[in-house]
Amino acid sequence: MVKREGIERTPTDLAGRSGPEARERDMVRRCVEGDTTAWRALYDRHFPDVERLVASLGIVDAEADDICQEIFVIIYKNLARFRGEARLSTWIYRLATREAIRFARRRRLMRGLAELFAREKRDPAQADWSESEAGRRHYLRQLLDRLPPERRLALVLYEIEGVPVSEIARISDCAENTVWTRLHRARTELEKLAQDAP
Amino acid sequence: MSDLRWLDDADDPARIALRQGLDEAERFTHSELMQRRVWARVSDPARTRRVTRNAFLRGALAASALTAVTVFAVERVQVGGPARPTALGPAEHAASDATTGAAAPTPQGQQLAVVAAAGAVVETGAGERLVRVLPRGARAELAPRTAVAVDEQGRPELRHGEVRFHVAPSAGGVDAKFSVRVASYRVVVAGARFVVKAEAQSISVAVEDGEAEIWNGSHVVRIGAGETWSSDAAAETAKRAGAPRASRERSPALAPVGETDSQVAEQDREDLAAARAARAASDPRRALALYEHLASRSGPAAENALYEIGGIYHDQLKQPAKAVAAWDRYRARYPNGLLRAEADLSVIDTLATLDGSEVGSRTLNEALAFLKRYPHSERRGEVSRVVGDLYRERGNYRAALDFYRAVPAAAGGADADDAAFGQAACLYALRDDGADAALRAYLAQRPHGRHARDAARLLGGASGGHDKETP
Repeated sequence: MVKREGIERTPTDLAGRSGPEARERDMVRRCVEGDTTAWRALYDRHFPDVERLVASLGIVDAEADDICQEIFVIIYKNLARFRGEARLSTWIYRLATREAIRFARRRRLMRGLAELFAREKRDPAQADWSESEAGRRHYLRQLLDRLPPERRLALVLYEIEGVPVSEIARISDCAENTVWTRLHRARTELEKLAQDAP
Repeated sequence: MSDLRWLDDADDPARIALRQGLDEAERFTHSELMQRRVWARVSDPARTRRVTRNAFLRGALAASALTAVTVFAVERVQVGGPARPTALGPAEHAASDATTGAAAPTPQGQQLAVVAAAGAVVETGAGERLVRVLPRGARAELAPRTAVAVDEQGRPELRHGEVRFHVAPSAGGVDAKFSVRVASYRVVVAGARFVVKAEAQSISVAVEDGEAEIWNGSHVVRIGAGETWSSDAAAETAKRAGAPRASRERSPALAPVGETDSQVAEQDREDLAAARAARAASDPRRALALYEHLASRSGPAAENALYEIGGIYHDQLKQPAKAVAAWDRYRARYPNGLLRAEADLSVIDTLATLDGSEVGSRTLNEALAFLKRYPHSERRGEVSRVVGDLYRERGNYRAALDFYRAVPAAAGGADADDAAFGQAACLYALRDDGADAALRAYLAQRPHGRHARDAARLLGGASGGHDKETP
């Protein structure tokens, strides 16, 4: 016989479920009130996610520092608007994704301009790029640089980082179907580039 | 079901190499150094200004330099351990001693690790090795013919030769970094074991454990364990970027693809941009007109436009029947198009939201056709779940079970959840002895699952006999 014990939620479960949200709201309130300890805690907790998002878009080194700085300043300035309707991590992802993709687009445009004004074009791939690990990695970076940021984000997170599509959708603040479409197109573009390689 | 990944079944060298490249690509590694540095900038956010850029001005003015820097950044690192031989031999794993300044074990006849005073210059002769603890606690193993100067603040500078540094992880704080100067470069770590080598014409850094940043002016390169950086590569690529080249031809390998393919006419490009802008500006009617115009032509832009028309009907105009009709048009015109699989899935997704037995039959047929056409699709789990649901609705629980069981656990939250409950519900409907166990397992694994309440209800029904409930 099947018993019902253990199936219904207990008051403890309910408290456990509301706990993190309540703690987040409290952390945000303290940040808004100028509590630097709370701000540090928020920063430490969410920095790795923001960093991964930025890295997935191919933004590295000094540029990564700049964009992470920019994102956290924006987060801080918008914290007063956080209503707790979504998880804080989701809310931060939305802000961060919007800003990082904007930055990546600007950067892509800059690189396009740089190529236009430069005395020469970017180095072509070495003829033997596919024969060494370093060659393949270098070439892959070049190919990824040619993808629109949204597609690059989907492809890198899925193919390299192994992040599930549902999580990428949350990171990118879009529907899972949209992620699949971006992934499909990114793959199609990469395959075409690879096949056109010398 | 096979677990083939994208390009696992590639049979041409280019696609095989691409899959290899993805497998070998660097996975993301969190940088504690970067976290600390950015924290130093945002710790007082009320006073921190956003990083402002005028992309156009800076882009144009710094065009050539950027090209050089871009290549510098791309070609900076080799993976797989130090590429150059080291005179230091294997590392000693006695870094903890360094933090205390105590004398360290001395393999191979090295001298005791004594503290190098601030302002001192430590040198080794031919065949001589030294171990020194620096004023800030880091440990330095000097290879023969090496000179390290320590300034008044206790910061080391490698003048020539080769040194392995052991820097114990510190307790945090932005000042808890360790840096070594070498020529115009500065190597910064927060806790790492790394080798710095200064030769007549080049500088190299090899990280054995942890991570390091190599700064030159405002440019920084970050490398992790097993990676090496050399000033040779940076100088060489910068030189190449500044040198004129005989041909200004764009490499075929770097030619734009897809929607920006050089084959796409300029007019197509402009219309495509206008259509996208209209869609982004929530003007779906205008976007639709532009996409229809594009679709009336030929080439990749037309194919893409035809697919997008379905998306506009679905996402913005909320007209699912017209969306399906648009994707049907796409499939009729491009039966083997690049977006064929996407169109198939979009049709299935959309039909699954519509009511009516006729629609249900078509959805089932579409989904079964998809599974047959794309047996290795990554979305087969999702589609199998849809087929399972449709069979269950029709009372064909045995067929439904087969498809629910084909949904991998890793298919994703909602699909895996639905399939797990679907299996239990089918077993319940079939009065199978395993129904109770399946329902219990569902509740145990997903106490707050999408169907937890239904599962609990069925269990309650099961306790009083199966006749009471219908899944």
